[in-house]
Amino acid sequence: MPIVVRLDVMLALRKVRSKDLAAAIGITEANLSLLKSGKVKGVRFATLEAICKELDCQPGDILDYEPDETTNR
Amino acid sequence: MSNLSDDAIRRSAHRLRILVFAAMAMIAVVVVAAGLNVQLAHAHVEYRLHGTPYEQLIAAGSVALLLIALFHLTRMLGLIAAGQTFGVKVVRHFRGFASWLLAMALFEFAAPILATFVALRPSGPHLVRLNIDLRDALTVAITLLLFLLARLLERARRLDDEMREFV
Repeated sequence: MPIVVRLDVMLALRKVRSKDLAAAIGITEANLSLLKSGKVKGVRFATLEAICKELDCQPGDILDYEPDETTNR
Repeated sequence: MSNLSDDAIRRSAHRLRILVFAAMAMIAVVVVAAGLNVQLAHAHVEYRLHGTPYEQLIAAGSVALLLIALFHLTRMLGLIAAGQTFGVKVVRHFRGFASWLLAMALFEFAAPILATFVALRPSGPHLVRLNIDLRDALTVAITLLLFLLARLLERARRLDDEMREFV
């Protein structure tokens, strides 16, 4: 998947714990962990909005596009 | 909002399950009472169990198939009432319900025809009367529609699985 989740980086920069973010945005820690590891099929706009609001950042700070070799062919 | 509608679905499934159980019990009581020639309260119960041996066999067979179909329906409703709205087993039992209902409709349609041929004596020409009941044809059509619904339920299950992978 060429979309890379950089949520752990933002959490470290903002010094926010996963547990606190999960509670603030209303999702389970398990789901936040899956999101951090990129093991989800998608992110709802509502979740993305809540994360951006809580961490005071832009969607682009959390999600990166890194095309892999198979995508370029 | 979603949880509220989920709860409403569960409650409806639970109530419907009780109704289906009641219907199954009533069918069983009526068939047994008719078979034993028992009088229920002031009502004399009659079922098709008093015809020729073939008619009795067909009647008993169709009741058995209907009860199996309803059993699958109760299993499906039980799973929905337990919260597995789009579970694999829900779809399986729904297919089971549709299959046994179709089997019953086809049995009721084909068995009398077969019985007529079996009952014929091989001596000389005979007139065979085939009764095609519109109700049987309608039951077959409805069960075929149930199969379509089962496929839609399967599709909904896949979508539900996919939705769970969204955070």
